[in-house]
Amino acid sequence: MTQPWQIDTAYASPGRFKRFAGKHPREYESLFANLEKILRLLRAGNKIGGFGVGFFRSEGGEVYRIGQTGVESAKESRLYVYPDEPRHVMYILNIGDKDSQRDDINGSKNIVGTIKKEMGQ
Amino acid sequence: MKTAKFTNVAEAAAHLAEDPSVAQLVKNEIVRNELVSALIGMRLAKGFKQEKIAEAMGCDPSTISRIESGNDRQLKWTDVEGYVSALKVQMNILFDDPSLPTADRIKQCVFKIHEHLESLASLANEVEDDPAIVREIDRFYKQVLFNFLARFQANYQKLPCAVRIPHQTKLVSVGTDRRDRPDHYSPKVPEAA
Repeated sequence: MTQPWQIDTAYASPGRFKRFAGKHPREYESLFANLEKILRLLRAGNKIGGFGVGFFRSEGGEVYRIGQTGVESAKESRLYVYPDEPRHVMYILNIGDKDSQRDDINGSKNIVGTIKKEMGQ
Repeated sequence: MKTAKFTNVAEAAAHLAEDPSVAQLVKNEIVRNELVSALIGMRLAKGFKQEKIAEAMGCDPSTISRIESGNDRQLKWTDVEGYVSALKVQMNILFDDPSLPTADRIKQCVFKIHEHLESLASLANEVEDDPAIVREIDRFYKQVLFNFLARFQANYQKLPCAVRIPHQTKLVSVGTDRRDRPDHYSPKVPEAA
């Protein structure tokens, strides 16, 4: 039985995603195709911790990163998400490359804090 | 609180890129990952770790990670065969040639349904020594039969040559055009393929 999951983009910076999609379109498509893979696993009832899938890993603070795959000569890219398992909401937080990952991860963790505060958690 | 919620990844990607054309590109990429996605889904449904698949395939776990990180076009046939075999799953490949005459394609569909019904019967025979399971399967079969007939009827009614006889549940075949049907037409159930 599939479980419905929603995707929330309200906390992501559209300007940043727009720039990334323009500069690295193939990586952008791959990142979101991999997000779909993850959502299918979640909809099937799998738990985040039990995936063991190479392109999906925890960055701590409930932030997960999705990597691009299958793109030749790709720019190492990351899509940062916060899967809220109890509420079945996948928050899209940030996008970036290897060079900006430290700032991207910290920024993403701050967003998760904001989300949790707003949810009263 | 801000809200921008989607149920579809492609639409979310297009919204963030501020470019509607991105939705189709992401959809195309998702389609190119269908097989890989199905393999990962089956592995997790069976509770297998990558290491277990690698052991059965006689390769390094990094190979499994590579398979799962690629898209369908990058898969090697031997990888798919080995992965599926490691999962102890049978693989069926369906070829569908849209250029074939419609009659041939219909025939193929009917044969496929027949094959699936035979598979159901075969599954029941495998557990015939357990009355409790057989009883449950019997109940399941009745549900399957009911659902099949309901769907068959719904689909059959969409055919241009099918008409429904009032106050009857049976469907009849009346050639190619319902206007050809004579008033004294005697309804008959379509013959099995």
